[in-house]
Amino acid sequence: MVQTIESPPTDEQTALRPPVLQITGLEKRYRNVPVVDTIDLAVHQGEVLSILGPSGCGKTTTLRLIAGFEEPDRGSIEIGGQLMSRPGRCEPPEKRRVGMVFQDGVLFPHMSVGDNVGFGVESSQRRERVAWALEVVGLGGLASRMPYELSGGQQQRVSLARALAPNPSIILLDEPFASLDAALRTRLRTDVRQILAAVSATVIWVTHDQEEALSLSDRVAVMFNGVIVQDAAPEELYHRPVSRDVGMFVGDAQFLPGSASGRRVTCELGDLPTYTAAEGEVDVMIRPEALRLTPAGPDVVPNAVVTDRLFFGHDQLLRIELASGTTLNARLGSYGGIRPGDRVRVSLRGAVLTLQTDRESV
Amino acid sequence: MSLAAGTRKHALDGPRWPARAAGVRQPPLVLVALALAVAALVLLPLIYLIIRASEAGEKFRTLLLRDRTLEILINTILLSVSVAITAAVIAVPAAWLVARTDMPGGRWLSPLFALPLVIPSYIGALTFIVILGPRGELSRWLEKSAGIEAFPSIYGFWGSWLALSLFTAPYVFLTVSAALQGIDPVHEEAARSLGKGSIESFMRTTLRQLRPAIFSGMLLSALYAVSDFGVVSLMRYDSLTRAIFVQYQASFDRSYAALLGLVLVAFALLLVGAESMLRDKAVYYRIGSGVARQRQPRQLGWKKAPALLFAGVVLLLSLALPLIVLVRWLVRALRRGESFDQLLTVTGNTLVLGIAAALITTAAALPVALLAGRYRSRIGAVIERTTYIGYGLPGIVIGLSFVFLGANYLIQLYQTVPLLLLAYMVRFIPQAVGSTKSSLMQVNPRMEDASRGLGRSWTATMARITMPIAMPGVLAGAALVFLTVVKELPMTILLRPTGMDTLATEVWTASSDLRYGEASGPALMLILVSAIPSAVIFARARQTAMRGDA
Repeated sequence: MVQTIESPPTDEQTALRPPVLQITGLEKRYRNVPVVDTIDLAVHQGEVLSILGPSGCGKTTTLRLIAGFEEPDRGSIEIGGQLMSRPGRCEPPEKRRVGMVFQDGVLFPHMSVGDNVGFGVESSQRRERVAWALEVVGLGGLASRMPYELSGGQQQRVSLARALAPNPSIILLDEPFASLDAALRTRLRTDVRQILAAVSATVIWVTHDQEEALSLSDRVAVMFNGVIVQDAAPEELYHRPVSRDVGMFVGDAQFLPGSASGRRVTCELGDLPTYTAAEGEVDVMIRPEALRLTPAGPDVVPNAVVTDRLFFGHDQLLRIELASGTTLNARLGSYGGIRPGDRVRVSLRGAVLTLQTDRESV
Repeated sequence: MSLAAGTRKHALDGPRWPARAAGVRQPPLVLVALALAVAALVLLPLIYLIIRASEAGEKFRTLLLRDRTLEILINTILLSVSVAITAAVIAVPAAWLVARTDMPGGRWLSPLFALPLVIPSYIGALTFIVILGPRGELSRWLEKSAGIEAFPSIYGFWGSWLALSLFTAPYVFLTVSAALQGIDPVHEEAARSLGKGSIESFMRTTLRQLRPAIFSGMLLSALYAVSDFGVVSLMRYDSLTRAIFVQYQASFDRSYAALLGLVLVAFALLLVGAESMLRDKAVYYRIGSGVARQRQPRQLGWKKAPALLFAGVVLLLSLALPLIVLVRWLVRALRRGESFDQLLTVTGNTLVLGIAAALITTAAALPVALLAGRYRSRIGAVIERTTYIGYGLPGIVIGLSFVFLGANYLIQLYQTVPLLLLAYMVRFIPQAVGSTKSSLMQVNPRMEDASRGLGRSWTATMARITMPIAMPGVLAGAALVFLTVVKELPMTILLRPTGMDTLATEVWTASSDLRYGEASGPALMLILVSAIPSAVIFARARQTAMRGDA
């Protein structure tokens, strides 16, 4: 049986080996409007990269450029060290060894599961590759079923098996769970993550769901209006977004005006340590879960009052009003008896991020 | 900041890009070349007709403005308008009764109302002449029993109107039934709850939404009446098609026939254009894509009796009467010792022509449909529109043009099967392009991307993915072409090789000579031959409607 299981790459190895995918200065225009605007991207062996952005930001176009369904207007794409796309000269999709999983799976409706999975494999290897791929996705034994006999989740697994079977150098997933319901999506997400890790596939994953991107990837590239605005590890992206817009797109963010001096900032919540040095007027980004609320007591001087509470079960959101009238949201665990009307002391965990005050996006 | 900040923010919603769906890539050159060749063939008869008519030169204006021309044109307009209105008056209530009420036998009525489609209208006209004609069975009976002699003549306008209305009503019925399926009855129910009666509710809500579908069906019916040759010839009504044929047979100066042909084409194209505009609109009026939800059918109560009477009269005239008459003739002819020994050969000829035409037309439609359905290119749209001209070229016009062409330039092809097949292709390619394209459109382009991504070339993808999935629709288109070719009359009369008879021409010659008994065998055989592909198409359409997919 052919195996593609390799040991996961160490940091040294990824640094030394050439990337599986190298995108340089890529640009794609429709009717002279850039949809993908001069992007650079590198993905290494075994890495899972998400491209995260709102709909219409150009992320799917980027994926289709990589797969060879579109031709770029500028820049180049190399896969496995080979030049695949540049303006005027594009290898056709079938020559790229790229596996793609589409939004709705798009299984061939007139072929059995086995024939679907074996579609991209040479006939000599077909049987064993089909058996292997179906086993990997946990659907061994379903080879003779027809696509319409499968549930939505099973169809997506078959779609993944079909992409894996020809042993591609890179797997592209285009919002593969978008059409599934929430519960199934969460379960399938975890499974697919494990499957891809087990075969140590190199993956580019396109999504507009920040939770999906943060939880599944080694790296996340955030794309707005055809431009990659930040390309970073999930924690870095969440805690140190490069702009207010990125900060707000990857999670709930609220901003307080502050005055920075070196690695400290003064705002309504007091004098706080910051991640990076800055001077002058800044916006202080506060994630709701970074706030800590202590009920007023003999030793605790309150500085805010709770005005509202949303209880979600796994956590709760409390609205608090500071002395100045500014309101903030605080996310707490579901235990604890703070109720609207209670007076509390608001404090922060760890350091905060300061961003240059941007008057335009308020 | 509000508490609802718990929901994710799409800080920047990018602009809407032009859809990147199907065809951003350039279509393959071979495909464009093939489609262009097909379009050129379709345009050939029309272009030749224009050249031919312009040869009249000076005479052109005088000919065009002759009283005779005007009279024929008025006849044609009168017939097509009255036929379209009558067809709607028959079909709209029929469709509503079947779809929305507790009409007894509703399940059977729907196919029954569509069934007259398999009876060629000229065969229907023939049976009406026999029953209602001057020396026909009804007039003789009236004369004998009641002494009525001045029975109004079936010939001319009244007979043409009756036959064409009854046999084009199914077009309106099918269009309106399809639209009714998509219209949510909730508005009708709302009107009822506001105190309106069932008829008024229907008129003020659903009927309004149905309007585009009704007009679309009426235009189809009008187009049929304008293009029809068989009925008006048998009924001796001077509409354009008959006038062209008479002119062609009677005189050596054929430029007047060509000129009348152009007038006919202009009129027909006007109807085609109006219909295609309305059809797009009719689609917007449908809500959602799914099958409308099950609902309580309207209780007809005592109105069941008039409803049943209405359905009974329509079905008696358009279905039962023609069949009974034909069977009676057949029995009489057999008693008389008629052997019908030619019937087998003639049926064979008809089948061969029908199948060959279906194959050729479908093959010609394929590049056009692929180009128009898979790539968003201007040339593809232009070529597709060009092939739709066939709808606006009545058979008599195409036949005439190919007679001129064949006699003058293509002597080797004149009165041969290939030229006849070419004429069929020009006339019926829109049907094949239409159904092939719509079945191709139902193939998700991502499916092709998936195949390409898995290492298959464009050709292999077409062969293994696109065509197999689209095949049922392509075959339905071919069946439709077969169905229309076997009953086609004017082109077959003008272009068939000498001595090659088909079922349609047999019926035609026998009835022109008033040998009705001899017409009964081929007529019944023709209905049988048409019924088989119709059943296939109908079953498929029903399946599609039920599953709601390709």
